[in-house]
Amino acid sequence: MNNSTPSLPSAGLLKKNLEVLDKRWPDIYQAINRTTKRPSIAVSRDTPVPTLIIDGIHLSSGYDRVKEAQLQSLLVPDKSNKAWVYGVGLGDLPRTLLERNKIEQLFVVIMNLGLVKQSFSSLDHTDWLSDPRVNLLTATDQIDVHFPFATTPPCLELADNSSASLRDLIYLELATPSICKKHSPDNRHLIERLAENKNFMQMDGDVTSLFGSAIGETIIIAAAGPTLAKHYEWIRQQQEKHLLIAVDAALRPLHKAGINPDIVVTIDGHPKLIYTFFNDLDLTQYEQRPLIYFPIVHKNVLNLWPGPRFVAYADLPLYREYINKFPKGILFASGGVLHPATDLAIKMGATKVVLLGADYAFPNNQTHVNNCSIAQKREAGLNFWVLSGRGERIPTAPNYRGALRDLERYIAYHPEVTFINGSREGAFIKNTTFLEK
Amino acid sequence: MNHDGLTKALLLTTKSYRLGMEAKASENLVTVIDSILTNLNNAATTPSTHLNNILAEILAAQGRRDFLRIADLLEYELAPVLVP
Repeated sequence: MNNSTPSLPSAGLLKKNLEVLDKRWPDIYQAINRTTKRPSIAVSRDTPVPTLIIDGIHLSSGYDRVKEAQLQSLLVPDKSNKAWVYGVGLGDLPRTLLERNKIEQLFVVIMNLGLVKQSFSSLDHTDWLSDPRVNLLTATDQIDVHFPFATTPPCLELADNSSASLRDLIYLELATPSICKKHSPDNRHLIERLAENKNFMQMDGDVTSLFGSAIGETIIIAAAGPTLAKHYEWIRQQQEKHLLIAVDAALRPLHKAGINPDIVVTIDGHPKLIYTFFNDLDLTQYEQRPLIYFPIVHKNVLNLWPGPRFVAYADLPLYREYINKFPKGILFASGGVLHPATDLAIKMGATKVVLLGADYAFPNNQTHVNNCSIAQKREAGLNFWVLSGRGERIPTAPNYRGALRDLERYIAYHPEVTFINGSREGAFIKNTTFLEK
Repeated sequence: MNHDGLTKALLLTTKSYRLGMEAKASENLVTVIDSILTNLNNAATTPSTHLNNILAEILAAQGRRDFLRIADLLEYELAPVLVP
């Protein structure tokens, strides 16, 4: 395996690598040539094996690059004849996979053109670039993650703006085993909660009784992002015409603004946090308004609600036993309460859904809308980011990035519905248009 | 956590970082560092300057999200100190 030592950038190496690109992928050749943004580069000298450091991030192990690439390649099963590699890095991962005779096609996706230019300037990549089994691609045209795949993690961290969505989807796939474990049927806390809530599941309504009750209508959904506050006046004007569904964290801010949502959705099993969304409010005005909940919500929250309660399940193994015992409807959920709220709106029959406060980010470094019990200012910094509706990087949290991408996938499955994003200050949500007031 | 457990946890953390499974890796890293500090407390031992330096460098790498550097530090610097 070619495991050449990176050197400081040289025009000769870049030319040699780009010559292969010019012949095989002229569009990428031109895109790399056009790239002017060159991240800062250094060659590590304090490790046994020199490696490139780009913007402070090591592109490979400084001890054993081959061993590292071999480990990374294990995500692709031995029997696969096709594989995807996300991130070029130093070229070690594509090389390792190409050593397998079984591999007939290897798709290598560039996550940052500037980074690749730097790597091409410092190392000879011509061996794997010339392999006829390789197909080089940019992230821009990649709508979703392909399987089986392996990745060079620093390339995800250094992804450029056009690769941000793909980066989040890859991270989401890599985190899925951990996420599933948290909601697995052997999570003791959640099992206890479900057992405690048997009576609620038995006595309360079924969310399906609301399905089809708003066919062809516009439904407004209030999430608890900071920009929700900018829409209060508009909501007041619209609420006579359109149904307002609120996620639990948005109830308090709306209530304090004199707005009573028509339906509230709560799904989280946190024993204390969710309680703070409800506990200090005069809820008597909600005697006729439904609360939709997943039965892992603490009974203290359920007991606070004066109106009708409707059970819904997520499509998770955790609920299987109870779905059979107490059959109720299923709502989509994959990392946030906005998902089931949106799915509820669609299953009620909405053809237009207006998402307000669906920021999935921290505009102005604020975590939630004012008056949300968990709202706080956070320190400035872009460790995690998404693109805003204005195309600028804005801070976020990793779980928000994942939930955003799952919402985008959900939206993509519903082309029959018009989705409108209330604000350009929060995260850009694919396949939505912006609200024109 | 005994030495065997700690070595296992270290390797698992390293592997997760190298594969890009950051959520799992970061969770494991907390366990590893907590365990090291507990073991030091129990043994009433002051951490060596070398160990302190490695831990400081791990935290710095975590701050800039330099995952492969964290993996290297865990596998090639920290593990030999903890399990000589």
